[in-house]
Amino acid sequence: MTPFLFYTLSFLALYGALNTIFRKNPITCAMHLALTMVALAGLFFNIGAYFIAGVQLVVYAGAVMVLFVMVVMLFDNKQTSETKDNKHMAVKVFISVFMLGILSGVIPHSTGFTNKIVAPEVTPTKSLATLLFSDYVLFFEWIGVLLMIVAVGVVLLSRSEDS
Amino acid sequence: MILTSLIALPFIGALIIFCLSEKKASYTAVILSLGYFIFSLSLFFLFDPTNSALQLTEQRQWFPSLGIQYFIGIDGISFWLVLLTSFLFPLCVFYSAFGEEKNQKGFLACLFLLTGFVMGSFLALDGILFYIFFEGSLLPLFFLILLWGGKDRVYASLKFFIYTALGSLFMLVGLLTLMFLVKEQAGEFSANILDFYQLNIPFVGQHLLSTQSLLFFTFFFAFAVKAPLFPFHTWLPLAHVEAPTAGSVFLAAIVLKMGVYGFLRFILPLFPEASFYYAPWLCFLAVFGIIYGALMALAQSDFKKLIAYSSVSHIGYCILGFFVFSHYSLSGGYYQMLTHGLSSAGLFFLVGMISARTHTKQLDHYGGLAQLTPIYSALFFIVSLSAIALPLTGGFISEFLVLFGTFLADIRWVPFAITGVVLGAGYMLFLILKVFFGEVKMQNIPDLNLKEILVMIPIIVLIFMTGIWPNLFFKYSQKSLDQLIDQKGNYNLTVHSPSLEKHKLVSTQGNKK
Amino acid sequence: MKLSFLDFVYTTPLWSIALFSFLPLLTKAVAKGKEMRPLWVISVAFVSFCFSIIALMSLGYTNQLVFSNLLRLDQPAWLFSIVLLFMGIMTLPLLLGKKNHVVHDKFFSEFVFLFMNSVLGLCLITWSNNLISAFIAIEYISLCFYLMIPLAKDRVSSIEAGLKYFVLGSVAAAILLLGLSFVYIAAGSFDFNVILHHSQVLIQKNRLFVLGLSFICIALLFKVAIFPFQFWLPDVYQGSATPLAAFMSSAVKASVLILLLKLVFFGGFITHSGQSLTVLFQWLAILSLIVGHVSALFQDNFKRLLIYSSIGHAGYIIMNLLSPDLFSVSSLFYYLISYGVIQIGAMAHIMFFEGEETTGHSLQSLKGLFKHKPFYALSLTWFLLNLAGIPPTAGFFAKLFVFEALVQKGLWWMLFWGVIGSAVGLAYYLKPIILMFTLPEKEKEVQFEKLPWVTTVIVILLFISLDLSFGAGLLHEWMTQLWTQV
Repeated sequence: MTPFLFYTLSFLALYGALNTIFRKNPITCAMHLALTMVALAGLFFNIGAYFIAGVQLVVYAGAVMVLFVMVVMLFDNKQTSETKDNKHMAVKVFISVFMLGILSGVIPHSTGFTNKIVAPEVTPTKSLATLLFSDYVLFFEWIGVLLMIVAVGVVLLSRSEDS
Repeated sequence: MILTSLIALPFIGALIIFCLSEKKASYTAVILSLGYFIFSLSLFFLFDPTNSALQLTEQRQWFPSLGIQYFIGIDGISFWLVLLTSFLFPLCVFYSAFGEEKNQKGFLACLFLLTGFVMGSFLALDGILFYIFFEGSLLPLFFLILLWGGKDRVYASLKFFIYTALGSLFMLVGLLTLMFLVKEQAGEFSANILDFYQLNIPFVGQHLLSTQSLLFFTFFFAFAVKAPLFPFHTWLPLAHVEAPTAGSVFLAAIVLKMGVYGFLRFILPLFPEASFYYAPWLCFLAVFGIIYGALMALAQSDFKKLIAYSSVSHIGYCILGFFVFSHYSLSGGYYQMLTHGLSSAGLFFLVGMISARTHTKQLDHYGGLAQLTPIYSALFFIVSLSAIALPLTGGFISEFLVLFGTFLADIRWVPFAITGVVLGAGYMLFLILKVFFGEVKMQNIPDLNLKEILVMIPIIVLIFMTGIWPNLFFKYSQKSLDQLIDQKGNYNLTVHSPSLEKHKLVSTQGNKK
Repeated sequence: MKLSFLDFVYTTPLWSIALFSFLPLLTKAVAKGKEMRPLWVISVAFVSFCFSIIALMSLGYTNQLVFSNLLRLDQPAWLFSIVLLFMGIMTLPLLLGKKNHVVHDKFFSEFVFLFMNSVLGLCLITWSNNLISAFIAIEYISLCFYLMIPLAKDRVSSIEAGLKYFVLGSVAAAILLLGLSFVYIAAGSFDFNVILHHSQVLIQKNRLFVLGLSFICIALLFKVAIFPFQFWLPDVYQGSATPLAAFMSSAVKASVLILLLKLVFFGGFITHSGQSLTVLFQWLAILSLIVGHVSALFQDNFKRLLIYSSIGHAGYIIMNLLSPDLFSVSSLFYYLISYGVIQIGAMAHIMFFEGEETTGHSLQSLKGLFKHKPFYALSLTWFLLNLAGIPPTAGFFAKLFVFEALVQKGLWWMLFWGVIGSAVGLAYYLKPIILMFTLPEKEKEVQFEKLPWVTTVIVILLFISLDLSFGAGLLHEWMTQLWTQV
């Protein structure tokens, strides 16, 4: 059951990703990207990372993709339908294959992992939350400040200067 | 303390001059430089000529982890160079002060800085300290040429700076390698020259890439550019022509000697086998430079360029004298440093004086000056006598010694060197004929005024003193020069210091691994 | 692990900056969007930075872990926090320099807010003891810079520069994150100590670990603009406001290199992985040198020339890191500190000539500066000589230490290239100097704006660089001692 799920979801993710790259219509690309996101969320569910799966769905497939589609919507449809150009395709393919080659050469031949996978007694969400508020609380607060900066930045950039 | 003050005083003087007004600056500069010279005369009393060791040394830690120290001292080799510098310094300042150059005090400040750097490089006994002063001297000279020079000064100063700096960079590599070798052989880093002398640098005969050969080349390149030795001399005529008078004097008389001094201080003692092995090539280059310089001088139509090429020619004698490894020729080469310093200083002063009046340096425009300016002509004749190497002048002693030593040690260079002497007489006399005799081509050239005569008189006096009484000068340097030859392959300077400071030499610290 | 009060005490220099940085924003909000006087805003930043420096000085350099091992106040962090804060202080008057011509009038408070946060982020990078700390800190400063760059007065060029930096910086951040995750998979922890502990074994056995570290290196080298990741640098820096470019080129290098030092070089990346990686870094250093110096030779624009020269200097800095011994580390510190001072000093002079644009000015506008304004000509000459590495300047001693370190390791090939680089550098550093000292054509006036704040900065930096050159030995000694206590 699980391998079948894995292969299906991976195939969907890859299909979505490739279509995002190669299709010409922006809406089609956005939709396929959303498909990829959902498939990835499924994969996360599969390995037991429920919290990440949920976050993936809510944040990526929900917020980010909606934002993409909204922006695409704001553009004029006629102009954007021919914006894809596939120059230097050979280079791009080469780089992708190269990366794939590196990863396939590296991952199977690595040994000596010091990470031990321990089944959590509590749900991953709860352990994540515990960590976030005890050991890593600094990061939590820090990212809060970071978001503050983002907010300021958004306001800054969106304001038109009246000289 | 005296040596540190010799180095530091010009820098302080430069600062003082920069802060004063133009008029006061000139007066102050003259007084300071004169006082400096008198101060340096005290070296006569403090220096012990019977001792070939380093004297009046001062040593202080500077970069302990790198082994770079503030180590200065004086011995027979640097003694006369220091005095030559401090002698010409007030002359240059006096000549340039009260002039009509714009930004006078900047000019004088540059001269002070230049003297400070040059003095530092003659007195430094630590490799990196020497390098700092050696390369630092490029800066004031660069600005002297750039700001107060002739028409083509941008190119001249740029070429001078980059060429010499490139050579010095190679020397830096060589110095760092030597420091590293000291670490390997004695256990700690040190840039102290005495530690360098203790090094055992391997040399394999035919091998171009053996350590000693490579180090030899790095140092050689640096000093050959500075000296200058053919074919690395191309910056010199340009720099001389475009530099202001006092700058040319200093350049020819002192700065070139820094390069030659480097041969004596670094190359001969540190790389004896390589020097011996490559000596034929070096002698060839030196002799070629002698003849080439003389021929180029014959062909020149520019007054200053002619004298610049004669400098190239004369320096060739120094190098020839060093690399035939005879006592006589070494002393001759060393003496040539002094006498060439004096004669070229005199010649450049005189050229400056006349071109300030006529505003031209083209020989074609000159003629019959003997009738117009008798005093000037007389002084010019006398100085050129030294360049020709006529007996009674210092130039004769030095060239004779070089030729004598070469005759004894390695006779094959003698015919060419003697040709150089003849050619030297040739171009000088040709110059005199063209400029001073023949039909009068100019009018209303005033003769020398008091200031200029006062500048030239000490030079003339010294030219004769060096010619008539060479022993006075050799007395102070002979021991050190002899040591260079006698201890070849095993050169080591000892330190003679009345203050009983224990000098920490890395190589004697027993840290050998 | 619980938060302790001590954690807050030790990180006072950091969160105090964050607190102070809100002040301009708050006052602007209270004033209903009306812009405050720039002098006031700058003095808030100034007070904040001074306060942090004082706090750091009184904390002293203990080796203290804070916030449950996420941050660490060790000697390099302590030293470089002070250095970075100082660089920030030096940049502040430059921002004031031109009566708001540097940054768009309406956004000055926000700009200073972002600037203070970027300094905070840079300090945090040096304090990081955890991969995620490092990542968040790098994102922090990147974000601040993405927002600061487009705010220059000359909107067109600066927006373009900001966009370029944003796109490329995001790619680098993605690579950083990928590498980070690989390292985590292999080593089992984000903490530097744990990674260092395991790294010797892991580097040999675990290719994923090596790949992860490589990606982290690549991303960090991107920020430092080493070849082949330097392509973004000239356009981005040229488009941003000059004080910002000056600050970025010196401060970002310093902090990211400290991170590189801690993570990669002391992580045993160099020593344990054998010769090949050392060789790779050597190549990168040499090529950065060549690219930087050769490109600078052909530049007509003074600002671009200085920016390309910073690529060359990055090559020299990397040469310092080729083996993790004490001497190299203190040489690195000295180079970073002196380079920071010199670069800000040199680029400050651009502000006099550039007028309203941010794209710098042609070299020709330097012509004849000595006649009109001898002080500025001399100070610019001094800084250029520092950059070129002529004795007896501080820049020379920095290069001397680098060469000495190379000799110690017997890397003659690199020494050769370093020397050649110096010589080539001489050529293009002398060009402006000569131009300054030649006479201008009589009719053209030299366009020069009188900027008292910038002059103040230049004077202070001159003074410091003189100190650095005379005290090079002492400073080097002190830094060697500093590190031995690790």
